[in-house]
Amino acid sequence: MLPRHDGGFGPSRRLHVVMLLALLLALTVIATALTRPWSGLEFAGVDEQEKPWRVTAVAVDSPAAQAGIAAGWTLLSIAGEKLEASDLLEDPDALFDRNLIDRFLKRQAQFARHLTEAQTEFMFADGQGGTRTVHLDLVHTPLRELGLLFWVQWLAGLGSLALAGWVLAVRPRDFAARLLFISASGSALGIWSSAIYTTRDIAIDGALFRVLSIMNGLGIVTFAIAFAALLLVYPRPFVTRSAAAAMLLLPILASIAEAGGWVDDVRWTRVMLVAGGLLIALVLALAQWRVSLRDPLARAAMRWIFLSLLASLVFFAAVAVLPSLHGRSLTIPQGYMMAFSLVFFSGIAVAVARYRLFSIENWAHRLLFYLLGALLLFLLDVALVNVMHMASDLAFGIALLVVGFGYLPLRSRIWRWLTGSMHATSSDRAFAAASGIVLEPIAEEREKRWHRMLEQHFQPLTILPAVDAAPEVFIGAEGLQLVVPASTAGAAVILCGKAGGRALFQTADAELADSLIRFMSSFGEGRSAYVRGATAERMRIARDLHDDVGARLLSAMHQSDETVRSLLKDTLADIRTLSGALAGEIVPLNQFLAETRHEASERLAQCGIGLTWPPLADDNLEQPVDYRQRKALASAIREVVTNIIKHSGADKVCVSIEQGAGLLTVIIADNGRLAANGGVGKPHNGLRNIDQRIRDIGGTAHFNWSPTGLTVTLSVPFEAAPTPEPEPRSK
Amino acid sequence: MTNATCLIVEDNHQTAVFLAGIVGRAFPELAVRHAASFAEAKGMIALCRNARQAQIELALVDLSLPDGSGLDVIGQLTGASPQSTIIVTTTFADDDSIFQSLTRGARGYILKSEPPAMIEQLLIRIRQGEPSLSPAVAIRVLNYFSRHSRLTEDPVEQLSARETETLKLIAKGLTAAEVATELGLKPQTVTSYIKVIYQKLNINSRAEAAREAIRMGLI
Repeated sequence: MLPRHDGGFGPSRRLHVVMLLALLLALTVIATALTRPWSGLEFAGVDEQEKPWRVTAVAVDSPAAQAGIAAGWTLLSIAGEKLEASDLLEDPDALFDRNLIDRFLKRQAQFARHLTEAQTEFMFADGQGGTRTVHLDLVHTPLRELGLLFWVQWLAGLGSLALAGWVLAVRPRDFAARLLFISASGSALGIWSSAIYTTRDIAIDGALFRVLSIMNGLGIVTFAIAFAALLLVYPRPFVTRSAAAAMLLLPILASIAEAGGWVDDVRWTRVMLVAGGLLIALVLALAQWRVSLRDPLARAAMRWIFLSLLASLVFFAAVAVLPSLHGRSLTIPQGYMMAFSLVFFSGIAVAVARYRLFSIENWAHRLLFYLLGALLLFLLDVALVNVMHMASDLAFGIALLVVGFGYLPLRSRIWRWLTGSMHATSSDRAFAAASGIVLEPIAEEREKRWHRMLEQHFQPLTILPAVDAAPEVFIGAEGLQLVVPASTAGAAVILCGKAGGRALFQTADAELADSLIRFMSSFGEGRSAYVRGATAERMRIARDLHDDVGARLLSAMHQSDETVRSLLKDTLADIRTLSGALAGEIVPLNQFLAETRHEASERLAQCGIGLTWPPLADDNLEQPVDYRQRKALASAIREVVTNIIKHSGADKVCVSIEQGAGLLTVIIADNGRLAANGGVGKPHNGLRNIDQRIRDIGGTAHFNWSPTGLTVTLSVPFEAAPTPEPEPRSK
Repeated sequence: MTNATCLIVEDNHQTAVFLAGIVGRAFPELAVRHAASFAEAKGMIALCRNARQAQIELALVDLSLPDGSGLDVIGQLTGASPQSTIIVTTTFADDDSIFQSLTRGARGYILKSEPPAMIEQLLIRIRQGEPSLSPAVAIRVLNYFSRHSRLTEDPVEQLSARETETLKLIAKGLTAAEVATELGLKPQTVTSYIKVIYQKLNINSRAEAAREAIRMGLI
C-alpha cells in the first residue's frame, strides 16, 4: 500500500470537500437548464417521419396552453422560419458531418434568438386543413418541468462523480484513483452537457449549444481513454505513469480540433476514440486478468472490474437492444442509457479503492450470478428470434425456461472458479478435526494438530506466529492474511496467502476460524466441566472407601485373630493405594520405592532379619508409577517378604532395583536354608499369587531356588512416558 | 493431688477399646478417658484444665472425627496443656494429614492397623522421645524446611546438616537403625535427630504462624 500523506486533510474531510464540489457543479447544471426558453409543447420527434413537429402534449399552465394550442396540431414555422425534422435531433452528433452540424447549430441559434423575443409568431397546421398563427411569450424553464429524462442524467453524472470522488478521498496519492476520477469526471461532463441540450424545449442558445456539444465530446472521449489508461497501470503497471497520462492529451486534442473546425466528420473524434478506447480497455482487462494469476489482490480487483463491464453490458442490452428486438422501436432517449455509468463506476470504484476486496464473495458474487443469468437470457432470446425466426414472445418464454433450469447447475461451477477455492475442504471436516484437537491432552501436540488443520483447510503459504494479536479473528493486509488469535488450541498465528497465495481470505474464512475457536472453547469447557464432575465423584468415592470401609475393616481387625488380621492389614494397604489412585494421586518412582523399602525394612527388622537394599541415586526417578503397577509390585514384594519371614528361615535379605530398557526389575534374594526344600516341591500358594499378579500387568516373575537361598526376580514394563497436563481437580 | 490421664479421641468404639487396652498395658499409671467426638474432646480438655486435677499426659487423637478434624483437637490440647504428648492415630499413613498434625505439635503417629504389640512399643518409644518417621512424611518435612529456611536466619528454626542428611535417608526408605549404620552413628543419635527434627518442625511452624499473623496485622 502507498503511504498516505494527508496534509492535514483526513479522508472524511477530503470526502466532504469532493462531494461539495460535485454538488456545486451539479447545481450549476440545474441553473443552466433553468435558463432555457420554455413553451410547454411536446413533439412527436424525429422517429415519426410524417409529422415530427406534431404536438403530442401541451404542459398545463404553460405559455402554449394559455395560448390555446392543442395536441394534434403541427408546428410549421417560428417567426416565419420553417421548421425541419433535423431541428428535433436530440444530439447533433448524429449528423456526423461538420457542415451539417454547423448548419444545425446556426438554426438552433436563430430559433433561440426568436424564442427569447416577445410575442414570437408560431404557425401551426391544425390538422383540419387550416393554419393557425399564435403569438407566444416564452418563459424560462420552471424547475418542475425539467423532466424525468433530465433528472436521470443529472443523477447519473453526480453519482459517477461522487463514486470517483470517494475513491480519490480514500486514496488521494494513488495514480489509479486519479485516472478513475478523470474517467468519471469525463463521464459526468458528457452526461451533464447532453442533459441540458437533449431535454431542450424547442431550441437553446447557439453559443451554449456549441460549448455543450464540445464538452459532451470531450467528456465521453475522456471517459473511454482514461478508463483504458487506468487499465494500463492498474492493478499491474504495464507502462509508466507518464505514458498513461500522455493518453489523456488525446481527448483534449480532439476537442480542440473540433472547436477549431478542423474535423469534417465527428465520428473520427468521437465514435472512433470512444469505441477504440473501450476496445483497448477490454483487451487490457484480459491482459491484467492473465498476469494477476498469482496475485490474489489484483485478481480480486479485476473481478470487480469485469463485474462492472458485464453489468454495463447487461444494462445496455436490457435498455437498448431488447426493446428493438421485440418489435418496439427504439424510443428510449439516449439520456436514459447514461444511467449505465452509475453501474459501471460502482464496480470500478470498489476495485480501485480496494475497499474490502476480500468480502467480494459475500454479495458481489451473487450479483454477478444474476447478471450472468440475465446475459444468458438475453443472448438466448436474440438467438431464438434471429436464427430460429421464432415469435418474439414465445422465444422469450423459452429462453426464460432454459436459463431458469440450465443456469442453476452451472452456478456452482462458476462459484468455485470465482472464489478460487479449488480444493474446498468441507467445514464439517474442520469441525471434526477441532473436536479431536480439544481432546488431545498434550499442549504441543494439540497446537501441532491445530496448525495441521488450518493448513489443510486454508492451504496458506505460511503460518507465522502472531505477536500482540487482537483477541478476535480478522482479515489483514486486504485479505492476504488471516490473523487467528490464541485459543485452547495454541498461540495466535497469522496465515499468509490463502490457497497457496492464489486467493484472498474471505469474510466466510474469518467466520469459519472464529466458529472453530468458539467451538473448541465451549467444547473444551464442557469437557473440563465433565471431567471436573467425574473427578469430584471419584474423590467422593475415594473418601468413602478410605474413611468408611477403612474404619470398618479396622474395627473388624481389632476383633479377629492373627491370620485374619494380617489379611485385613493387606486389604487396608490395598484400599489405601486404591483410594489414592481414585483421588488422582501421582506417586513418583522414588517415593514408591522408598515406601516399599521402608515397609519391608521395618517388618524384617522386627523379625531380626537383616536387609541390604542400597537406596537409589536421586536422579531419573521422578516419573510416576501407574496405579496398577504400584499395586501389583507392592503386593508382590509384601508377599515375598511375608514368605521370607514365615517359611525361609533366612537371616539376611538382599534387594536390588534395576531400571532400563522399558523394564523395572526388582531382585529379592534371601539366604534361607529351607529354600532348597521348598524348591523341590510345588511353589507355595503365596508365590503362585505373586506370579499371577505380576503377569496380570504384563510382567514376569522368576523364582530361583538354590542351596544358598531363594532369588525372586520381578520384572514389569515401565516406560518413562511424557507427563500429560494434570486434569483440573476440585478440592 | 493430680491424676495423670490419657485421653483417647476416637469415634469408633471397638478401636477405642482396642487402644485403651494397649495404653493400659503400656502405661498402667495413666487413667484412660475416652472422647468420641470433637465436641466431647473439647469439653474434656476444658474440664481437665479448670479442675487441675486430671493432667492430660498422653493423648491419642484420631484425625477424622464425625464433627470436626483431629487437627483442631491437637490445637486445643497444645494450648491447654503444652506438656502433654500428643500422638496421632490413623488408619492409613495419610502423609499430608500426618505432616500437618506434626506441624501443630503432635509428637508422633501410629497406624491403628499395626499389631497391638507393635503399637505398644511405638507408644512407649514416642513418649520417650523416639518417634519414627515414614519416607513420605520425611519428604514433606524436607520440602518444608528447604522452602522456609530462606525466611529465617535463626538456627533454632533451621535443620543442621546431619539432621538434613538423616531426613534424606529416611525419605529413601531407610529405618532409623539403617540411617545410623549408613552414617556411622549410634542408633540413639539418629533417634535424637528425629526428635529434634520434630521439635524444629513445631517451632518453625509456630514461628511461621506468628510471622504470618504479624504480616496480616493480627498481632
